[in-house]
Amino acid sequence: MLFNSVAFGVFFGIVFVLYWLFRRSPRAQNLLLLAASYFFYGWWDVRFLVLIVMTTVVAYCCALSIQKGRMSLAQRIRASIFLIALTVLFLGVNLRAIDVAVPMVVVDWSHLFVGKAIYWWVILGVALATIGLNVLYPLALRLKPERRERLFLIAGVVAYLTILGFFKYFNFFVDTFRTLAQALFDAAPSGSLLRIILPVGISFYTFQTLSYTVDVYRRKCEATDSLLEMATYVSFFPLLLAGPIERGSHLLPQLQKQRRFGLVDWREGIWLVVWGLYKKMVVADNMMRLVNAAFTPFAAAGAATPVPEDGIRLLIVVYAFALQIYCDFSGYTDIARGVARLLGFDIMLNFNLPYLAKDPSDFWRRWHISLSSWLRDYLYIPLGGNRHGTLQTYRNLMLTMLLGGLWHGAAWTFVLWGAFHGFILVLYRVLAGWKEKWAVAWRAVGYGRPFGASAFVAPQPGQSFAAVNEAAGRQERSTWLKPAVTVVQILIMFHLVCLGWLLFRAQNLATVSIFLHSIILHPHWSSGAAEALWRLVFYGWFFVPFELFLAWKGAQWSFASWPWFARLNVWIFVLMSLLALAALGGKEFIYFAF
Amino acid sequence: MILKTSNLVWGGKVLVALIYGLAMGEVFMRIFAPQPMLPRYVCATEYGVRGNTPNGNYWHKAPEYRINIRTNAKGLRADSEIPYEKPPGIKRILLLGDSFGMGYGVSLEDTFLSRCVEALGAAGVKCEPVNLSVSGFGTAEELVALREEGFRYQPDLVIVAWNITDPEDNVRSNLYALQDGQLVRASREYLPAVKTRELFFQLAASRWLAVHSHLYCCLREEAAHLVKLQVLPAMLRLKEVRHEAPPSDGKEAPRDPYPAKLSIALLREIQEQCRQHGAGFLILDIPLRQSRTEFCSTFPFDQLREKAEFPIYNPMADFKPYAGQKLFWEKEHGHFTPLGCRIVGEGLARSILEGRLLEHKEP
Repeated sequence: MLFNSVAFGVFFGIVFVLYWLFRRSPRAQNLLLLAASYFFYGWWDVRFLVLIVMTTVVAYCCALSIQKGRMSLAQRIRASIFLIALTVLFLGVNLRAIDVAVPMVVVDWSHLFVGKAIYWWVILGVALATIGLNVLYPLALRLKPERRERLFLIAGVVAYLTILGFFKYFNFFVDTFRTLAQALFDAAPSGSLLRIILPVGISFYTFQTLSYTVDVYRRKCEATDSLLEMATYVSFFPLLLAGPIERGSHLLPQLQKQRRFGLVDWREGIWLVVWGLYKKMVVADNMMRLVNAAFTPFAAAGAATPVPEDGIRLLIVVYAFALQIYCDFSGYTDIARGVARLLGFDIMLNFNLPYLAKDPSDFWRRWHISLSSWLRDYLYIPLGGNRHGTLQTYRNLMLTMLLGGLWHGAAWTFVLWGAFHGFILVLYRVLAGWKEKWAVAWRAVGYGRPFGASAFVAPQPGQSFAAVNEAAGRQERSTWLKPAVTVVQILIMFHLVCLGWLLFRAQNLATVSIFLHSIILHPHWSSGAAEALWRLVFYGWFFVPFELFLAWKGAQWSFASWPWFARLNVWIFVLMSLLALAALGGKEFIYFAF
Repeated sequence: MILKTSNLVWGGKVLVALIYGLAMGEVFMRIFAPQPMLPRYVCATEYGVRGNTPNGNYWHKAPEYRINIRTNAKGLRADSEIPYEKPPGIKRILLLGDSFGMGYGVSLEDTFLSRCVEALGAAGVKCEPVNLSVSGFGTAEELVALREEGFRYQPDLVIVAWNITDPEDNVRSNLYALQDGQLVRASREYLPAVKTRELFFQLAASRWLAVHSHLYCCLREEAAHLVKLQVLPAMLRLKEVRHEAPPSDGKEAPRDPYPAKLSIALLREIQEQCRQHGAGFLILDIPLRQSRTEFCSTFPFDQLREKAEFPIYNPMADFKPYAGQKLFWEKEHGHFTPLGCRIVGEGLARSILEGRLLEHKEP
C-alpha cells in the first residue's frame, strides 16, 4: 500500500479513529497497530509476512535469552504458537476464499487452504524447526553466561542475514556466477534458474531487528518481555517499507507507555504528511518523467551508442535526479514521521538538508541518517573505525561504504556507487591530512598562515587537528571569506554527490560513460535542454528556496511557529500544487526497491 | 464573554482564511495550472445511458482555443434537425464515440466526421453525418445507443471511434458482462453523476463557475478521476469473484484480461447488429499522442489476433507527413486539432471508399 494512494488514506483514517478510541489501553493500541501493520504489508503480498513473523520471533527470543539469561516456558510456548499459527495463516490459508466485500463474511470452504505443496513444506519446516529449537534450548542454557550471550547474538545475526541474503542477494549472486562462468569458460550452467522475489522493506526491518539484538547484547537497550511489543516494533507500518531504521532504545519505550495526542502533534503530523506528499507527488514524480525520458534510451547502451551532443541537457537531468531521489525518499520519511506523529510517536529525523553538506562525512550525517548512523555503529566502529591507524581507517571506510552500496540494491552499479562514496570519504581525509601538514610546515618556516588555512596551534593531547583548526578558523577567518569558502565547498560536494547519483541511476556503465562524455566534452545547449531546465525550475522553484530558507533560519521543524498568515499562504500553495501539479497515478517510492 | 469573543475571532479567522484560500487557489490555478474548461452537458435518456442535453449551446475554453458547441433537439452535435427517415439518394454515416467523436476542441465543420463527409462528397458520394457521440461514452454505452436510437436513423455505415479509455469504461459501466464467454446485459442503466450534474447546473452560480473558474474545473476533474479510479478495481474484483473460481490444482490463475475480452465481445456485437441492419461497420483507432512526432495505437487486440476480424482505420501512417505539427491539443485532454481532424476525416473517407463500406448490404 502506497502512502500516496487513496487506499492508504482510507486505511489510515480507520486505524486513526480506532487507535484513539483505545487511548486508555496501550496494549489494545499495540494490538491494533500490529493488525494494521500486517494488513498494510499483506496488501502487497501476504506470503512475505512470514519473514516478518520469523524475524520478530528470532529477535524476541535472542534478546530475552541474552539479557535475562533464559526464556520462561510460557514465553517459549507463546513465541512458538505465534510463529506457527501465523505461518499457517499467511502461507496455508487462501485468503481470497474469505470474501469480506459483502455485508456478511463469506468463506469458500472448498478453497480455504492453499493447494501448493511448497507452502506446506515450508509450514512443516517451520513447525519442525520450532520444536527442534525448543528441545535444544535447555542445552544452550548450560553454557557460561558470556558464551551463551554470544551464542544467541551470533544465532540472531546469522538468522537475519540468512533471510536477507537469500531473498535479496540470491538472484544477484547467481547472475554474477553465470556471467563469470560464461566469461571464463564460455559456458553458463544450464537449467532453469530459480528467481526469488525481493520482499518489500526487507532491508529495513532486518537492520532494525539486527540493531536491536546487538544493542541488547551491548546493554544499550532493554529486551522487551512482550511479544506484542516486539512484533509491533518490527512491523510498525509507518516505518515498515522504507524506514527510518529506528533503534529499539528509541521506539520500544514509546510502545510501552501511554500515548498522548495534543494539538501541536496534530498540526505537525498533518504538515509533515502534506509536505511529504508535496515532495513526492509534485516534485519527485514530475522529475521522474524528465529523468526516465533521458535515461530510458540508454537502457541497452553499448560502446557503439552515439553520445548526445547536448551535454547541458544531460547535466540538468542529473540535477533533476538528485532532486527526485531526495524528494522521493525524504518525502516518504516525512509522511512516515507525520503518520507516526499522528499516532503519538516521535520518529527520528532521517534527512537534514543533505545537499548543503561541505564534505562526504557531512553528507552522510545529513543523508539517510538512520542508515548511515547504523553503518557507523554496527559496521564501521566494530571493524575498528579510526582507531588502528590511517590505512586501517581507509579500509574500514571503503568496506563500510561498499556494503552500504550493496545494501541499497543487488547490482554492481550500487556497489560502484558505494565504492565511489568510500573513495571520496578517503580522498577528503587524505586531503585534510595534507592540508594540516602543509599548514604546520608553512608556519614552521616563518611565512605565517597560508591563505585560507587556519592558524597553526599545536593540538592538545587527544585533540584533533580538525578541532584545532575549527576553533582557530572560527576566530580568525574574515567574515566575507568564510561564507564564500563554504559555498564553494558545498558546490563541489553537491557535484560529487551528483556524480554518485549518476552511478546510482544508470542501468549500466556504458550509460555513465555516455553521460560523462557528453557533459564534459559536448556541453552544448539545445531545445531539449531548455525544456528540461524549464521543468526543473517549474517544479523546483518553490521547494528549493523553501528548504534554503529553512536552513537559513535554522528552524527546519518549527513551521508551526510561523505567523498564521504566512503559514496559510504556504498551505494554499502546497495544497493547490498537490491538486493541480501532482503527477497522475501513484508512483512507487524509489527506496521500496531496497 | 471573553470566551465568546475569542470564539468569534477564531471563527472570523477561519472564514477569512477560507475565502482567501479559495481566491488564492483560483489565482494559483490561473498562473501555474490553467485548466481547460470543457463543461459536459449531458442528461439521462429514456434508454438508460447518457445523452447530450437537447438544444445545447455553450462554450468550451482551453488555453489553446475557444469554441462553441451546439446540439439539436435530439442532442446530436449538429446545427439542424435530422429526421429519422433517410432522404433518398443520400448515404448516412453514423458515428459512435466519446468526446473525440463528438469533436471536442474543434468547431462543427472541423470535426472529423464533417471532414469525412466532405471528402466523400468530393469523391461523388453524397452523405449525411449523424453524430451520436457523447463525451465519456465507452463501447457498452455506444452499443445501447446504437440499438435504441442509432438504427432509427437507418445508417448505411456505423463508425465506432475506439479510444484508450474504452476497455475500462466498459467494465465500469457494467451494462454488459461476460458470462461463460457470452455477452449478457448486466444492468439496464448507467448514468454516472447525471443527477448530480443536473442538480449543479440548476444553480446559476454553478453554471458560471463551470465556465469561469479554473479551481472549480480542477476540483471537478480530480473528483471524477478519483471516483473512476475507485470504481474500476471494485468492478474488476466483482467480476473475478463472481466468475472465476480458483483452480482446484492450487496453481495461481493467470490474470484475466477481462476488460479487453469484454470490449472485443462488444465490438463483435456492434458488428453483428450492423450486419443485421444492413449497415457497414468501421472502427477508427484513435492513436495516443506521445510527442508531436510519436503516436501509438490504442487498439490493443492485435496480440489476440483479432485485428483481421474488424475493418479498422488507424491514422498513424497519415500523421507521418505532418510529424512535428500540432495534431492534438497539448494543454487540455489531448483532443484532435482541426488539422488532426482533417487528416483523420480524409483517411476515414479513403478507407470507406477502398473498402466499399457504403455499398448496400442485405440484412
